[in-house]
Amino acid sequence: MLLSRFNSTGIIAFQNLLQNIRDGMIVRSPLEIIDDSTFIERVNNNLEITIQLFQTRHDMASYINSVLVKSLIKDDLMDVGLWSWLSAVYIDSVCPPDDVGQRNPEKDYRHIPSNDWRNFYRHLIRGPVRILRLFIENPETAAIVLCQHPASPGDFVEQLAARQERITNTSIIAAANKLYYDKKSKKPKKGASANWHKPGTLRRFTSLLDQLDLTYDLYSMTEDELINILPNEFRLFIEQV
Amino acid sequence: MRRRFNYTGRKKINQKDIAISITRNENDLHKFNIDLDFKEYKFPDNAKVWVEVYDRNAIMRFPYGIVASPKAESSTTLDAFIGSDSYYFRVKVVDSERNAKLFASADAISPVRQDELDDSGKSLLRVTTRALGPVPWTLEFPNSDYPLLVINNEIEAGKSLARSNSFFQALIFPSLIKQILTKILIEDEYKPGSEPDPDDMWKEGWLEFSGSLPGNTRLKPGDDISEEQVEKWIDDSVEVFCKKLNAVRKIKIELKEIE
Repeated sequence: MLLSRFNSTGIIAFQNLLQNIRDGMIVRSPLEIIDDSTFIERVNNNLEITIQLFQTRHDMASYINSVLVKSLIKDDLMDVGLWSWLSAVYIDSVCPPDDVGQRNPEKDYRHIPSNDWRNFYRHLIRGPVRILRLFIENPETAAIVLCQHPASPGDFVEQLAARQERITNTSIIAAANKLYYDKKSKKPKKGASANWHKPGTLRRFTSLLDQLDLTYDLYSMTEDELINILPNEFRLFIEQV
Repeated sequence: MRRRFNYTGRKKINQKDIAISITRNENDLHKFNIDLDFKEYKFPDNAKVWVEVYDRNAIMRFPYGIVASPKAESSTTLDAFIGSDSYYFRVKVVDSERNAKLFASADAISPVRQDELDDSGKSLLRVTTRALGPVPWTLEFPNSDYPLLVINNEIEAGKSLARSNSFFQALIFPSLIKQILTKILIEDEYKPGSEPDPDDMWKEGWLEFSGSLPGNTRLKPGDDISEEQVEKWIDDSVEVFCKKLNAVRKIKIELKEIE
């Protein structure tokens, strides 16, 4: 299939389709609107993109980024039609059907990019692609926010990617990765994202970052320097490093 | 006035010691220059200086030499802010020898743009354009800075709407003034101060402006007024502003109800 984007009619049609799905409509992929000239325009007439099923945000972001790099679209992260079309193309990954074919799209901004900055990373494809690009030289240090299933980013993405000064700070993400990512299971460690009252967990880590930011230039620190100034409550997870 | 306590030992760099200017390069990208005056702060000469530029979608970070000679170490082109000029600056002075501790910082600094230098004084309301989807405009309150009116960048008239379109002004400004004064006096519970914190200067500016409108009264430091009185003062301010703007007449002219 040739790389495309939704035009304004296509975005509205996709938005209506998401609502219909919420209302109970069963839809099968591939969606007809992704290759209908009423709804799309070609981004590039010789750039192919393959429909496939992704198991992790990392695998999905790697593949899509490899295609977009070749497309040479200027400022592609702000291209609403492009990311909406990609969501429709990969609907089985970002909005998979259950046993009876019913899907749960949840909020529109997971599939159609929102202009609200708080939802920037909540788009299920643009979010991981943006993170992958930030960590393109060493993506395994961002595994804690890329290891999840494409349809279920979870608490780590929500807590770490929702703030610019966290997700763009390689030391913070690498430190979170060291503390909370289990290389064996390739998932977050058990109990790491428990509610914020529990010492040493993710919520405590992010609230502590807000305090440390008043005293330190966190961008100037390495991941180990950051881990070394964490209080004892993080010992449980540090010892698992 | 709210009091702020600083338990960190970190100093604050005064905005008067930071002068930022923006120019455009040949590709129409913004580029900044920043003059920093650290004479009165007694920082170690070798402390590292960083400049961060940020908005709601992006952040860029620039090494800016050391305290003894602050200067850009690389290009200062703001290529992460294409199509936006509603970004802010943060300056940090960092102890590079001791675990990246902050000696001092200054945040939420607005640059003076070269094409705005002719403006007399700083406007009480900053205006910018941005993608807002179906929303025509919105009002934002950046930390410690003047309110920002954001106009949908699909509207070609853009910033000129706010600056010179009397129909837009007559329809929108009464609501803007109400939102701004409500934010200052009710949400933030701000009281006019005889020695206001630099972060509150924008609030003082708006209270001074509103209080000086013909027919209105100024709020003074130490005034003890109830919330009901505050709400009435806000409504009065909107009313005298509309009167000064001749808002209803401007709308009727636009609708061709009168000539």
